[in-house]
Amino acid sequence: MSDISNNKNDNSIENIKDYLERIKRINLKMNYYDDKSNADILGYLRLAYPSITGDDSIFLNKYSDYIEEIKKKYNRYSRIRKEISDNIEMYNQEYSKYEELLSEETKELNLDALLSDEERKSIHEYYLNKMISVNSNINKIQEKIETLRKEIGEIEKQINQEEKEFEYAFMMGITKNEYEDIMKTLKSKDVIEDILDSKGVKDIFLKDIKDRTPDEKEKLATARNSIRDEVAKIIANSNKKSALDTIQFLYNISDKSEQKEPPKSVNISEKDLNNITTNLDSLYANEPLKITGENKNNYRPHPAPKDMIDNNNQENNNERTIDGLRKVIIDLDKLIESHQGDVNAQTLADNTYFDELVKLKDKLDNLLNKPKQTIVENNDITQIQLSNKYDNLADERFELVKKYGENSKEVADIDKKLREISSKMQSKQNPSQEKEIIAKSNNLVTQNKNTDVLANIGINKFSSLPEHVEKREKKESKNLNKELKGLKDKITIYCDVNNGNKPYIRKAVFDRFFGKYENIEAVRINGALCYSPTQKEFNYIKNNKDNDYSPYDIEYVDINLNKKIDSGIKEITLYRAVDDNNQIYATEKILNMYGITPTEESIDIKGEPCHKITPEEDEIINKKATEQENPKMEVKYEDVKIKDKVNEENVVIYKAVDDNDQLYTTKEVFDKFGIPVAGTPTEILGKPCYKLSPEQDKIIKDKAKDSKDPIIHVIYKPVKIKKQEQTVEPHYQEVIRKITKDLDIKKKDGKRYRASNIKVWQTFKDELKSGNYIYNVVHFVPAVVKAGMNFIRKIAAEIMLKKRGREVTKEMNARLNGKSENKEYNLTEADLEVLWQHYKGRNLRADMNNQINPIIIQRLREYGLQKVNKINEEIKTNYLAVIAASDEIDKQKAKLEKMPEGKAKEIEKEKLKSLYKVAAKSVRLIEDKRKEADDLLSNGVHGIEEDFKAVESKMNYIGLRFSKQNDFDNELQDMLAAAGKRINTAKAKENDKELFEAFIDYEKIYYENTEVKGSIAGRRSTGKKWYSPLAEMMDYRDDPFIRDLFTTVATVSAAISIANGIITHCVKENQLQQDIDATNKANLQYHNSVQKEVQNIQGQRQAEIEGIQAQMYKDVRDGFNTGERGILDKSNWEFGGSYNADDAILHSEADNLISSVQNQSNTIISQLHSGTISQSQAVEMFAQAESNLSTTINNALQPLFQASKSYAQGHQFAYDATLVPTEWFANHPNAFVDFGNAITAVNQSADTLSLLSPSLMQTIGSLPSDLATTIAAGISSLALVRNIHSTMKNKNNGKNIDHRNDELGQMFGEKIVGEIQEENKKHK
Amino acid sequence: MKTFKENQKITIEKNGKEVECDVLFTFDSEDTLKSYIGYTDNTIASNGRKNIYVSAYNPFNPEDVLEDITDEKELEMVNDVLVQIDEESI
Repeated sequence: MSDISNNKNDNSIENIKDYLERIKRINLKMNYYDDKSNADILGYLRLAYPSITGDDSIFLNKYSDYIEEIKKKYNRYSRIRKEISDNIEMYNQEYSKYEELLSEETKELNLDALLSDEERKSIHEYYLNKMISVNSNINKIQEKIETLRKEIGEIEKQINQEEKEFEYAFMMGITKNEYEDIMKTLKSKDVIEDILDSKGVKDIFLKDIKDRTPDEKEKLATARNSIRDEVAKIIANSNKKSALDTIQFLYNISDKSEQKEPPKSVNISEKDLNNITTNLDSLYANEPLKITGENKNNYRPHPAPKDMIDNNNQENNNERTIDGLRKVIIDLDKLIESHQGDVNAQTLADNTYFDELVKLKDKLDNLLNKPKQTIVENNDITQIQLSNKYDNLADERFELVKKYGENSKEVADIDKKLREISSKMQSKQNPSQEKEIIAKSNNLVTQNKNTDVLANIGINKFSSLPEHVEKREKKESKNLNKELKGLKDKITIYCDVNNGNKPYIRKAVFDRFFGKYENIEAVRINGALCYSPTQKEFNYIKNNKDNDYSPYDIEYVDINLNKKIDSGIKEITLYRAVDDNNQIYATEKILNMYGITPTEESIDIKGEPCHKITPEEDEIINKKATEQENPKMEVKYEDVKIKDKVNEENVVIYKAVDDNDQLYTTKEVFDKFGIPVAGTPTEILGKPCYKLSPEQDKIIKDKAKDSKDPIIHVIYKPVKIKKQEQTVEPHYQEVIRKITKDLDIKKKDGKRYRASNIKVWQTFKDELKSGNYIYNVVHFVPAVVKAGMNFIRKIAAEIMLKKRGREVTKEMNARLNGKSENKEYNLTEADLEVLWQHYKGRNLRADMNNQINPIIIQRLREYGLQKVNKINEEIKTNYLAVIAASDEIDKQKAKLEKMPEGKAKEIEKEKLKSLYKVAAKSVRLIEDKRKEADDLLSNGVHGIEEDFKAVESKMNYIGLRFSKQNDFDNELQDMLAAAGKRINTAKAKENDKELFEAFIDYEKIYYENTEVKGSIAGRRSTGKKWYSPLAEMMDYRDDPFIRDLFTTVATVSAAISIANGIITHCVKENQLQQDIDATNKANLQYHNSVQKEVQNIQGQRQAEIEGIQAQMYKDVRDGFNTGERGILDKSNWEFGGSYNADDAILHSEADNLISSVQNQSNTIISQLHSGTISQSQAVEMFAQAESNLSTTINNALQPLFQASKSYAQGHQFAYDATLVPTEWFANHPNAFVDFGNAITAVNQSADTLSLLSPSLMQTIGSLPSDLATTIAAGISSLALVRNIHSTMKNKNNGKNIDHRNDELGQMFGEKIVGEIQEENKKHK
Repeated sequence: MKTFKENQKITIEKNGKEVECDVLFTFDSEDTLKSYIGYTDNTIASNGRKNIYVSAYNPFNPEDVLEDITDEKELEMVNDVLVQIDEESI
C-alpha cells in the first residue's frame, strides 16, 4: 500500500496540496470510498499477491476469517479516506474563500501597477497564509486531517500485517485460527521458517512479493503442498482436543515427536481425572505426569531464542509453569462452558464428567493461588543458586546505594561481583537446563496472597489500571483472554498509584532489556528489587511485546509505594521555562497520562525528557487533574532555566602548534557552518580532521558569535600533529637524502670555504642601499701599497659564475638550519639527532660524502656545542653547590671546634657528614658531566689526535691557543698527580670528605697555574696549565663560528662566578670581604645612577621632537622674514614693480614650505604613535627633515642674501643679524644632520643601557657575592657609559649635546673608571 | 691580531701614485686561517662601475702585509661574501 502516513506535521498550504495529490494517487483498483465486498478484497489480494491462487470458494470458506478481517480494515480505511477527502474539500473551500477575499482586497490597492508578477504572488501568498493561520475554522480542519492521516497510517500497517499473515497461512494451507494457534504454540515464526528453509524456499518466501521472479513463484507453488504436510503434522501434534491433551502437551518433554497419538476425544475418563487430581499437588516439580500411559504427546515446543532464555530464566522460571496451568484453566473453562450449553449432555455420566471438570478447575485455581515458588537444585551450583546469589548481592547493592550513593566505591565493587555472576549465569544457561530446572522444581512455598502474587499468576487488575496505562492498553485488553491462551512470557509492571502511576519493573526484567541500572530509582516491591524505567524504557517494553522471537504479555499491577505521602492529593509538576517566554514543559509521563501527543522533540529538564505544551494542552491537564478522583491531582508549576542547559554547544578547532598553528577541525564542524570540506584528512586525537583556512575560521567565529540557539562556543585546542605523523625515527640515509634532494652537488661543493666574522662599514652599506653604484670587482691590477702592503690584486670579476655552487651550499645550509623555503626538506630536531649520532666519533662508519660532509659537520658542531652548553649549565649548578657546601662546611667546622664533646656534638658531626655528602655528590656529578662534555667535544682516538696535532703544530686557533711556550713543570705535575690520586681513591672508598677536599685542592692548583692573556689568536693560555671550570668553554669562545653560543651573559657569568667562587672561597678564603661589600654597594649606586640618567635621556625625547618641530617652523618664518628683507633690499625699498612679483613668489614658497613641514611632521608623528618607528627614529627623522628644510631655505634665499649684502654695503648699517647666521648655515651644511645623529645616538645608547643594565644586575644578583664578579659588572656598566660618552664626543656639534656629554662623562665615565681602577688596585 | 676599524683608510700605490682607499668590509676564514679586506679607491672603471679591491692578510703577522688572492676557492668565498653583503644591504 502506498504510505501516506509519514508526512511531517506541516500544515503549510503547499504541503497540504501535495498531500492531497498523493492521496489521489493511491490506487487500490477499487472504488475509494465504498464498502468492499469479500469478492472485492479477494480480487484485490489476487492482484497484489499473485502467489495466492485457487477457487474463490476456497478462499471465501477456508480463509473467510482473513477476508473478513481484511475487508473490515479496508472498509475502515475507505471511510477514513472519505472523511479525509471531505475535510480536504472543506479546507479547499475555506482556502478559496480567503483567496477570493484577499484578491478583492489587493485589487483595490492596484498592485498590478506597482509590482511584478512574482512580487505580487509572493505578497499574495504571504497574506493568504497569515489569514489562514489565524482562522480557527480552517485550523480545525487541518487538525482533523492530521488526526485522520495518522489513523489511516495505522490502518495501513494493520492491513499489511493481516495480508502478510494471510499469505503465510495460505502458504501453509491452514486457516486463520490454525495459524494463530500454531503461532502461539510455536511462539515464533521460526518453526515455519525452518520448514520453509528445509524446502529451500525460505529466502523466496521472505522476499517482497514484487521481487519474486516467475521461477521463484513456481518453485514456491511446487513446495506448497509439502510445506502444508509438514505444518499439518505440527498442527496434529499440537491440537488441543481435551484438557488431558493440553496437560500432556504442556508437560511431556520427550523428543519423539513423530510417535504421537492421534488427537484425543473431548471425553475424559474418570480414571484419568482421578489421576490428575491425585497428582495435582506435585504437578509442578515432579517428573512429567504420564497421564496417558504409553501414548504420549511428544511434541516439544521449539526452543526459545537464547537471549530470551538467558534473560527470562531468572525471573520467570516459575511463571512458565504457572502460565501452563493458566492455559489449562482457560481450556477447562471452555469445556465447562460448552457442556453448560449442551442440552443433550445431561446424563449422569455427563454430569459426573461436568462435575469433575469443575472440580478440576477449582483445584487448579487453588493451585494457582499458591503463589510463589522457590526452586532449589540439589546438585552442584546451579543457575538457581547463582540467581539467588545474584539477588542477594542485588539486595546488598540496594542497601549500599542508599548508604553510600550510586557512585561510591562500595557500589562499584558490588557491581563488579554482579557482573561476574551474571556472566556465569549466562554461560551456564541453556534451554534444556532450563526445562530440567522447571520440571524438577517441587518446593512450593505458600505465601499470603498479595498483589505481587496476583501479578505472577496473571490476575490482571484492569479495574484499577492506571489511567494512562489503561488508555494505552485498551486495545490489548480486548484480546486479553485470547492472549492468555498462549505461552508467552509475562512481564509485570507495577504502577505506583501514590506517585502518578510511576512504573516499576523487577530487576530481572530490567536486566533483560537494558542491562544497565545506574542512576535509576530502586525500590522494594513485595521484597523484590525493582527499578523505575524511564519513559523511553517503558515504551520499549510496551512496544516490543509482540516481537517475533520472544513475545510476551504485559501485566499492570497497582501498588502503594509510599503510603505516608498518600494524603489523597498528588502533585503533577509542569515546568515553566523562565528563559523561554515562560513556555510550559511537561514530562512524557504526564503527557501520556492525559493523552497528549508531543509535537516537538524532547529536551532534558531535571534528567527527564520533557516536551513543550500549548496553553490549550496546559488547560486540558489542569482540567483533567482537577476532575480526577482517587487520587486527586494538583498541578504545580516549577520555574526552570533551559537555555544554558540545552542550548549551548562547543565547537572544537585544533591548532597544530607544530605546523605554524594551522587550524584543523572535523567534517561535522565544517558541515555545521556550511563550509565545504577540502583536502585529505589528518587524524587528530583519533578523528579525521581537515585544514581550516583563516577565512573559514573567521566565518565560524562570526557565526558562533551571532549564534543564539544554540549558543556556539568555539574552543581552540592546541595539538601536535607531526609527532603523530612521524613516530618512526628517520634513518641516517633518509636525512642525507632530505638535505641533498634535487640539488646538483658537485665534487667540490662541500669544500667551499666559509667566511666568518664579516664586518661591513656603514658607509659601504649606505652606498649599497642607495643603489647609486654598480661595482666592478675586476680580475687583476698590479698595484703596490705603501707602507709595506703589496700585491694588491683585484679579484675575479665573474662573481656570478659560481652561482650554482653557492646556491647549493646556501640551500643545504638552509635545510640543515630548518630555514629552507622547501619546508619538507628542512631538518627537524629528530633528523639532526640522527645525523649527530651517526657522525659523532664515527666518521669512518659514516659515508665519506666529502661533497657535503663539511657543510653537515659545520651544523653538527653547532648542534653538539648546544649540547655542551647545556652540560655547562649543569656543571655550573653543581659547582655552585660545591661552593655553597664549602661555606657551610667551614661554618660547621668552626661550630664543632667550640663545642664540648657530647651528644650534641655528635649530632653536629653527623650534620657535617651530610654536608660532605652533598658536596661529594656534586663533585661526582661535575666529573661525570665533564667526561660527557669531553666525549662530545673530542671523541675517541681520532679526536685526541686532531687536538694534539693542532696544539703541536699550532695549526689553527685552538692549536695556537693551547700550545705552551714554557718548559714542562715537573713539580706542578707531582702536585696535580697527588690531588688526582686523592680524588680517585676517595671515589673508590666512597669517602665524601676526602673527595670534596681533594677536588677543591685540585681545582685550586689548576686555577693558580693558569694564565690567560689576549693574543692575536684571541685569549690564549700563557700559564703552565689551562684551567676552565666549564667544559672547554674557553676553547671555543673566540672561535668565529661558534662564539655566539658562548658569549651569552649567562654563560660567561657562570664561568666567572665559578672561577670567582674558587678565588673567594678556596684561594683567598675570607679575604677582602669588607672590600667586596663596599664594591657591591658602590656598584649598586652606579647602577642606580645610570638608570636615572637613562630615564633623563629618554624623558627628553618628546621635548626633542617638539623642539625640532619648533625649529622647523621657526626656520620657515625666519627665512620668510629674511626673504622679505632681501626683496625689499633688492627692490631698493620700493614697492611695486619687481617687489610685487618677488613677494608673491616668496609667499607662495613660504606656504609650500609650511605645508611641507606640516606634512612631514604629521607623517613622522603618526608613525611614532602607530608604533612603526621608535622615539629615537622619530628624532632622527625630524633631524633629517630639519636639515633638508634648512638647506632648501638657504638655497632659495641665496640670491636674496646677495641682494641684502649688496644693499648693506651701499648703506651705512650693519646687517650681521641676517648675514652671519646665513653664512654660518652655508658653511655648516651638515649641522642639523649631525645634530640629529647625535641625539639619536644618545637615545640609542640610553635604550641599550636601559635594557642591558637590569639583565646584568640580575645576573650579578644570581652570583655569589665576590669581588671579581662585582668588578665585572662594574666594568660592564662602565663600558656602556663610556660608549655614550664616546659617541657624544664624536657627534659633538652643538652646545647642548656637548654640555650633556660633559655631564655624562663626568657623572659616569671618569668617576667610575677611577673608582673601578681603585678597586682593582686594592684587590691586586 | 690585526683588525680594521670603521672609517679607517689604507693607502696603496697605484700607477706610481699613493692613493688613499676606503675600507669597505673585512672578514675571516677558519679554512684558510686568513683574514680578508675589501676596499676601494673610489675610481670608476671604463664600464662605469666602481672598482673594489679585495686582499687577504695574515691576522697573526705583526707586519701589515696584504696578500693577493689566487686560490679559486678563496675567490669563491669572496664572491659569497660580496653576495651576502649585497643581499643584507637591501
